[in-house]
Amino acid sequence: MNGEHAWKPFRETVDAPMERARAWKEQTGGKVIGHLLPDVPEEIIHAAGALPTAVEGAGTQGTQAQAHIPGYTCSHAMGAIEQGMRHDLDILDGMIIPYVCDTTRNLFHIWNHCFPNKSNEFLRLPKRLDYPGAAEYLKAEFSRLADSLCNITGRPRDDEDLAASIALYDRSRAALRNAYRKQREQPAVWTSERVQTLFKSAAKAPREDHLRWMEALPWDEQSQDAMQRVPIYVRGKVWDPPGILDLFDKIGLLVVEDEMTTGYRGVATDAGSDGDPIDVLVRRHLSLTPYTGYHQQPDKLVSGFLERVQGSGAQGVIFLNPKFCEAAGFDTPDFQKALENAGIPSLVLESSSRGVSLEQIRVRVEAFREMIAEDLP
Amino acid sequence: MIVAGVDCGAKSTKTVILKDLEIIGRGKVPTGFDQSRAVKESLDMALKEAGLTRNEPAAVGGTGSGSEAVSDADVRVNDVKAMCMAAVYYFPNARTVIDVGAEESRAARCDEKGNVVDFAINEKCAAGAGAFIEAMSRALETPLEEMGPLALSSDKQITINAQCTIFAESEVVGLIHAKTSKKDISKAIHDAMAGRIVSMIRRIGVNPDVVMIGGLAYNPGIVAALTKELGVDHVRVPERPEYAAALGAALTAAERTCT
Amino acid sequence: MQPIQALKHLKTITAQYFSSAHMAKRNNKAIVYLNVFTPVELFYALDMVPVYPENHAAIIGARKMSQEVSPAAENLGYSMDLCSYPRCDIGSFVMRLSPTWGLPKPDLLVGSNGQCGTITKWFEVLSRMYEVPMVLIDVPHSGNGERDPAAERYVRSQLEDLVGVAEGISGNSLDQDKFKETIRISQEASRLWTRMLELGTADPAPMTVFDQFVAMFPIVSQRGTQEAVDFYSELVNELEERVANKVGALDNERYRLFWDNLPIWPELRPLSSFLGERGAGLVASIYTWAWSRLGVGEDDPFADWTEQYLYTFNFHMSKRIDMYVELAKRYNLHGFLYHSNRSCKYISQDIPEVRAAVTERTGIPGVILEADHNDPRLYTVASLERQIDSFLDLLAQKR
Repeated sequence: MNGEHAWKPFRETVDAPMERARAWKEQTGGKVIGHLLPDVPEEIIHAAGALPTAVEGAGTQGTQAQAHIPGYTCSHAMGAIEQGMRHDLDILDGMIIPYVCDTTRNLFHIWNHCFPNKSNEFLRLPKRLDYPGAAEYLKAEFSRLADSLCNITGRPRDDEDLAASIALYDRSRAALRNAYRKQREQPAVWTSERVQTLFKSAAKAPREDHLRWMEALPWDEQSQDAMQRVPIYVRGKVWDPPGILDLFDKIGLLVVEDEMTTGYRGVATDAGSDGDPIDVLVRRHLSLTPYTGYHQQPDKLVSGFLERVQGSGAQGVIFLNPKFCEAAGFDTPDFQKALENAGIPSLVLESSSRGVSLEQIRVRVEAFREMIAEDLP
Repeated sequence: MIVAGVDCGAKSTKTVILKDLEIIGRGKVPTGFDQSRAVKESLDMALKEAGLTRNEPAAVGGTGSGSEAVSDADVRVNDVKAMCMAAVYYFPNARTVIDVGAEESRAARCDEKGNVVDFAINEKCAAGAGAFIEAMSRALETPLEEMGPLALSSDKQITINAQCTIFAESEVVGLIHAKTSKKDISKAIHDAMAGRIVSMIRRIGVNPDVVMIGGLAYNPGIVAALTKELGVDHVRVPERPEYAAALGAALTAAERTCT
Repeated sequence: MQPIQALKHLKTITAQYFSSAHMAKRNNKAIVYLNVFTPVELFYALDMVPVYPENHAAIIGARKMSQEVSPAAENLGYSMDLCSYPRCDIGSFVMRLSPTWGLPKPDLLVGSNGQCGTITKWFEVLSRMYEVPMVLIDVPHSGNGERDPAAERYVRSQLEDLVGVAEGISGNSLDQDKFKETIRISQEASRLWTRMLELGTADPAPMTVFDQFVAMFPIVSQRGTQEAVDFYSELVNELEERVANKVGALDNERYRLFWDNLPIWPELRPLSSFLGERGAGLVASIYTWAWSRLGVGEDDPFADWTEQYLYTFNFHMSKRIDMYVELAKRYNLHGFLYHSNRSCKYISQDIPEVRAAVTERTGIPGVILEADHNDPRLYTVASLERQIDSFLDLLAQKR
């Protein structure tokens, strides 16, 4: 089928991200900087001349992580340690771990202790999104990060470099937004699984290459989609277990908007070029949909969420909560109650690499679809 | 010198009689509800095999979760100490010991004298204990003793997410329905168990030689899976591994009585 | 084991604290919920009454009521994987079942993620439940304790703004004299608390760490009041007398041990006896030491609080390892009991690395005990006791 060919480079990247990094390193001699997602400003890494490569722990099995961190830790963190211990991440010259929660804070301690020869950074993201001083603090922190990265790569810090990187990432984000829209327009071709592969691979390949590959995608292809797809909104961190999006596609659930770290949230807004590049990045960061782990006035956290769901046109909400994620666990009851009061059905799924199978999820998700579909098959 | 060691475990109670550090008698009975009775029966059985009377052993060492029931015990020996003593008795180079019981699994590092250097116990995760494989053998409708050899005849790598026996059972049922061969499923089960056990062992570090004791050591499938997962050349298993803890208790009793 | 006389006052102290908190509510004083490491002096100076949900939860655990109330929170959708403190606290509210007649309804919630992320989420839930505002003091800790001037400005400005918010809620303006007075009293309580901890270095130690956990109530909930100073003065006097007469908490102190992390509140007495019977004395802990550094100066308390939030409470790994190595020497420790507390990721996740590093540097062994600070469904006492026995065996053969 001519279809698969265009998606190949993205899949290859997701299947073997470190291979991409290795190839890039051999070609350019540059530094590869790993990061653990949520809101790490890749533009700053890119502007320093390094290759940002996201490390995703979810889905990683192994026996080594528990020697270094207790089992009541989310799969994302445990998987990252497991990969490190297995030497899957040896190609990395450094790692940036963002402050998301207590686990990421400790993960930095443990990572730094186990891999002291890498250049490791803890990104001190502020949590208080609606406090004016947070912007000022974040500006200083992004600047500190930029200095630190330029130190690692040896490339002098230059605002023009950063502006150029920001422009590149804005173009990439625009392309990804278009791809996301195609999900609604051409769901048989632009399946949820394929579109999320685009998103996942974006943070694991040189962004210039990724953008180029996206141009070769079947933007103009039309196809008849016989399946009734029910629009849903998903709130969570990472797509776990692997295969869950395929499951949504097969069952006929269409993710029209999501708040996942490798999802729409990350591309919804551009940085633009209005002002000092660090300021521009700070503004963009503070405009992102707050994921669980950021703080606003508590009732606003709920009302903001409800507004987003209602604005998306989704008929139902799935909470994809990572097992052992405190923040997600505390948000869910009140968020569900708000949805219930607004007449929007929701389903809570717990995800974990260790113990939750796709089969169990299938049963629940199928039942949910039946519940929320306007036209029952 | 004659000493006895009694291991009163959750499922069975084992006794070993030593004369000048040689094993001359063994006894094993199901523990059941009456631990004291099981201890007495097991001890009697071993004494009979050794041709001894009850007052001939100079000391009795008691170990196991029911060691309180070994009321005659002169020396109470904790499980971890017993397993280390037994391991170095059989294998002087033993430095890491694994004991997978019915309901919990333990790992310990020891020195050449059988002194405990570090240890870890896993009682939370059913998939790391013997009860798991029993449940799986029922799900596969395969006799327990055939599970290991079956696993060895497979070279597939299927992952079972085995956090909980119930979940794992439903995954096995799923694999059966998907027409996966029994041998491949059995291997997957053994790999999952080995994964949980090794996760625990890694908390204390692995120092060769690695020795496995306890009833599950009879299962060649689990020994092979552990060897592979640990990345060591071999995992040593003594003869009659289910008696190892009782032996360890006897050895400790001997040591503590003589000093 | 001789009981410590001064501890007898705690029953009355605790009862009086809660009844006066409820009374204060009836007298229209503003109630503020705080996490335990907060500038409480500020709120006294605004004539607000500080209440600590964590403390409420701990009492529920200690009185063995967790299993009764926590399911009510779980029925609302709060997973059992979440910290057992908020589960108990929320469950207690839902069921109207509490050993302290519940807690008076708050007018304001002030929490900080410098202590942990759970506090933030717990207070967000309470804020929605009670429909009252919440202030988060956001503290961006650095990974290795590096100093961060921008963070200092950020934290300090949040603290200064907090004053305005609290004034608005309480209807009072900050009384500078009361502020200074409260700070002085608070310093004195911290000084006495620290003295109590230092007396633990004596051989034999006059007080076990488990008794110190019980004695924590005033320093946690009444820091800044004369009651706390009076209580600890008496306690310290009694301990000094014990030390002078070489009277120990244990009749036979064979081993001197360190307890890492929070206690297992429902098992405080049973574990205390178990250890005591074996001559295992708990002489030091990290949890108790946390309260020794909470005094601030009168000149610039905001600078001191900023320093505490950002640096003193930044429990990063190398600092923790160094601290444990130093405590091992100071207290002449034989072993470490690391409570891997399922509810408390902040303190527990670093334990495997810390344990390995401390043993490497000092030769002193440690054992990891997997349990929970408040929920008995997450551990079995029999297993903990077996592991402690195995550990004590290991210590015995080392000597």
